[in-house]
Amino acid sequence: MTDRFDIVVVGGGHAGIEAAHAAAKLGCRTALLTMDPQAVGRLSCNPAMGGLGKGHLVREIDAMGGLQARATDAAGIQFRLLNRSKGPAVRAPRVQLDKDLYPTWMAGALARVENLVVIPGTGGEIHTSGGRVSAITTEDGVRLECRALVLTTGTFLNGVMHCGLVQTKGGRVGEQPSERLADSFLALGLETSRLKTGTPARLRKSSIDFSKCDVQPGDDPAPPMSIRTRSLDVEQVCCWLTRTTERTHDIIRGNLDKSPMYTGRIEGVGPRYCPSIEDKIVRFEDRTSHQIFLEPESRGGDTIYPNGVSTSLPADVQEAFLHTVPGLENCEFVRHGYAVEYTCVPPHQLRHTLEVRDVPGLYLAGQINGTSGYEEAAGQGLMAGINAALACKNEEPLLLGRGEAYLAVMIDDLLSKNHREPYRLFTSRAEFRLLLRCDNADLRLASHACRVGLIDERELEQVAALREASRAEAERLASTPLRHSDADWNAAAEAGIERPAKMSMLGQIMSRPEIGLDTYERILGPIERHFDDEYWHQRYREQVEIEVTYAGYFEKQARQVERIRQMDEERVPVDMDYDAIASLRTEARRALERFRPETVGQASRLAGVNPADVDVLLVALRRWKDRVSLKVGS
Amino acid sequence: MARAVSSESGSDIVVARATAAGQAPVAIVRASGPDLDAFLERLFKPSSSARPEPGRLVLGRLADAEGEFDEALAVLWKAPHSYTGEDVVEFHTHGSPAIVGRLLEACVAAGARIARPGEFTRRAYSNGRMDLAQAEAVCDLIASQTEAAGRAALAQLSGGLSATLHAIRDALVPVVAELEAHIDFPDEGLETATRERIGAAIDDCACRVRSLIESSTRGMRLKDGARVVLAGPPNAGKSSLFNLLLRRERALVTPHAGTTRDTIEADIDLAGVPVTLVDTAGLRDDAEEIEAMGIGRARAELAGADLTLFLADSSRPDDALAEYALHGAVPHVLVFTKTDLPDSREPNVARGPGCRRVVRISCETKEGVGELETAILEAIGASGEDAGALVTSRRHVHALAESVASLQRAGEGVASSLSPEFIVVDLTEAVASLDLITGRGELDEDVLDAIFSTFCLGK
Repeated sequence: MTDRFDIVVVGGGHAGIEAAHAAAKLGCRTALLTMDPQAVGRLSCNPAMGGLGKGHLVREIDAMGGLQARATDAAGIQFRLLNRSKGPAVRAPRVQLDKDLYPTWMAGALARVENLVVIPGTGGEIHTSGGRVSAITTEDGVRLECRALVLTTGTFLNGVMHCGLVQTKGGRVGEQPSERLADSFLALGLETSRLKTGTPARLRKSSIDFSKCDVQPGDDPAPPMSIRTRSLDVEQVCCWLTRTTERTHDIIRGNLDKSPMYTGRIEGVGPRYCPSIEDKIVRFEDRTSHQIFLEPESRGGDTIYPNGVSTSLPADVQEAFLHTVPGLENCEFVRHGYAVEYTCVPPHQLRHTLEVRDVPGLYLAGQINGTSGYEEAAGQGLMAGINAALACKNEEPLLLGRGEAYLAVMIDDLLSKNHREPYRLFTSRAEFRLLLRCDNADLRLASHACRVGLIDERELEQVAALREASRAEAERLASTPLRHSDADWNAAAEAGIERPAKMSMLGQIMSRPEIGLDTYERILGPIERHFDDEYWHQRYREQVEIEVTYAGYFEKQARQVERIRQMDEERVPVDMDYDAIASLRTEARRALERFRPETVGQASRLAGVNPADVDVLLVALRRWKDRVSLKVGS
Repeated sequence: MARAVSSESGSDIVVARATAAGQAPVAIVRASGPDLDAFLERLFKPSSSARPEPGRLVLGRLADAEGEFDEALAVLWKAPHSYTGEDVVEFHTHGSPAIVGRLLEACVAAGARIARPGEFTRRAYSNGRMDLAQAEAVCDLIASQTEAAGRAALAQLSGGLSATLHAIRDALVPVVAELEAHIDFPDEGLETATRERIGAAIDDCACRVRSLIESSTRGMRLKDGARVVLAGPPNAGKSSLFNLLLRRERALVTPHAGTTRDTIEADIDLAGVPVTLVDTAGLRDDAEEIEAMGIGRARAELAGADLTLFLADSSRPDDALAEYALHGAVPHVLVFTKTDLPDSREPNVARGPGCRRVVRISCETKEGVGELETAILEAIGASGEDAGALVTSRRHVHALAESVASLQRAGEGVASSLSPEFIVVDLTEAVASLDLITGRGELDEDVLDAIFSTFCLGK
């Protein structure tokens, strides 16, 4: 049995959904191969989306026409905006999700996408023809021919689960791993490695005494995840907070010999940012207590996700130590925590399009690239899907700059760093963090989204109008001299604004973060209204305020973005012969050979490559170009 | 945040001295970048009002924000007809470190940055101004220069600068880590970072960088030396003092005639600092033609000196008044000579604004000579003990100054309760400036390491 597609996406997780959705939206005949078509976008670990860095990514996916943010708003049961007290660049939405509703919404959304079929099955063997990917056979023997293949296998590639010293094959509890696909990678000559992640137990909600816990409510009104969601009419649930005790720690310490981590059973490397509870207790031995967030997994269901106690200790130890935690004394286990080890493909083998450098037509996204997180997976899926589709259509790839999007920061980091642990986004990874805000994701990305065909012209025009109008107003305000009446200044004094000693511009006063547009308007009346629609008016006000307040910082970062953009536009051929460049230092040569940077900018960001090496590389490039032009000339 | 943004790119103006550092009659300072017309106009005032032609040397005066400071030749080559293929400006100035230093400062103030080794050459081949064979040669040259620079840097850094800079960086990384932890992990219940503690840590680092900058005056004197000119009216005792200073250092002296008949130079080692002494013609107004030319050169020497010893006969101090009034603004030590003469008296002379010290000496009895030497070392900023870390490069001083400026902004941000991500911007720049000197990098990874080893995270 054979079927023919432009693009086949293997894996219906967060990466696969966005890849298939984007590819189909771009007009490619697309198949999504997944084990259970009704369970796409499962929340295998915590029932939450967003947070710092991650929320930024979801907003960008949203701006690019992706599904994750809209699904989050549809399935959200608690909404918060983190870091409200800090500046706009580091505020981010975080949403607790209903883990049953989310996949249902996703399955429904995918069913409505033209050009997309969802096929039940497990990926088996990858076929190539003339070095290019040509087809994939499922484990059931169905052959799907394609021009591009996007693999988003998550933790399923040779997945092994550990609960205590008991090992089970599988990528998620109760589900089989993909082993034949893993063999395919070896046949393609790709380097692979093993990573590890873990998930805590699930507890029965009705068995927990919440009176011993602190309550964590959502924000009111609920801040939506999607920039397209104008308001949310949702009844929110709360989360709870409790803490481990010294007795908890004693029990864990006494049972470390039963942990696969501490007995060498797990070879994969786990993340430092999401350590197991046994890790936390060993590494921070003087801490007498650790936080545990109790997060409902759904609105009406009876399960709780205890966030902060991921573990691979045996089931009886898990029960013993959690029963020492206030509120959890009598808690019942729905499921025990476990660790899972899986195969990934170190991402230095990829191009920025997420295509495997040496296997044209094969794209990888999500945990297979050594990342962690639903948001990171979806972001890569989106970019892989877009670029696979653009390649099928013989169009220019979509390559974003580090100064434009967290999507680009993530992909460039993946391709340019040595990874010791699953990669997760932090805002600190973005050198232009002040520019890459949740509030302006669509302002940054709408033109790209429209160019590739993921949003229409009308939407782009609306966003462009907001950008132009708010910039113009911010500039006007910044250069407005303060020449007000004493009455104005008396009103200002009440708002806590001192009259400046000498003549100054409004922008100078507004550059103090505590003085917002509201204060200004209380004194001088409302700013001009540019948009009749209240949603766009509020966004306009927000952009004006942010632009005026932080103008100095933004200009500085924008200049730096311009500098690296030039370096990032200088292309380096992937088949560059670094051995032939005699003057390269050995350390630099090794780094360049391993990572095969696609641009001079990327080369300059590699560990082991210093500015002088970049100079040497530039000479070699010049020579290489001369040779190429000579060949073309003769 | 934490990745330092490289300031290197082909679009900015770079400047460097093109002739070897140290004492030479003429120094060449070269700048390259896009469109240097405005740059040149800001720094150089041609003597003639005619518009200078590209590729032609023009006489004029160098100027910075404080005013004109030297006579010089300048030439502008327009892109692509230049060494680098960009606009190139060369200034030919007097060779004193003081002048070259001031010119480099002025160039930086006008928007240039100090070039890295090999950067002009790199621009040349990037812009297609070299053929293949040349490019190959340049490659090796850059590699060897880097190596030489590396060895030089190593030699310098082993003197304690490296350890000092690493210690400062190691003190800044936890500060950045703490701020970043509060940004990226708001739900972890971290202890609140107190403004006072963060502010104090930043101030402390700023102080440490500042004291390194202060060491640079002595460091650069040790490396570059100083040009000290003896000036004053005829018969004030200039040549006697010149010979006296030489005699004391006879073993180390290589006296040679200057390029002009009437100015004599000799190098001496003054407490480890290479000093070029310049004896000049006596200054007076009523000289006949040839002597007048010598006096003209003497006055030019004064302008290019790091320090002038202005001599006046203490038995006839009034002879010196007119000339002293003319030259009192240049950095100088006022030296009253011939204190052994019976009619030597305590002269009542108003000190010029450039006066660093007044010393009374006798070349006969050698009274006051030791005091004069101390005064010279102090006046050229070369006195004091080596405190281990010593900064000897102008490029390093610039990097350190930028680091201090960034630290100051960060400190102000902390004091005014600015949100941490803005403070991190300045701290990152401060560290990036230090990393320019030590060649370290990967601040983002260092910060993540510090975050995860310091804070127990993992919600």
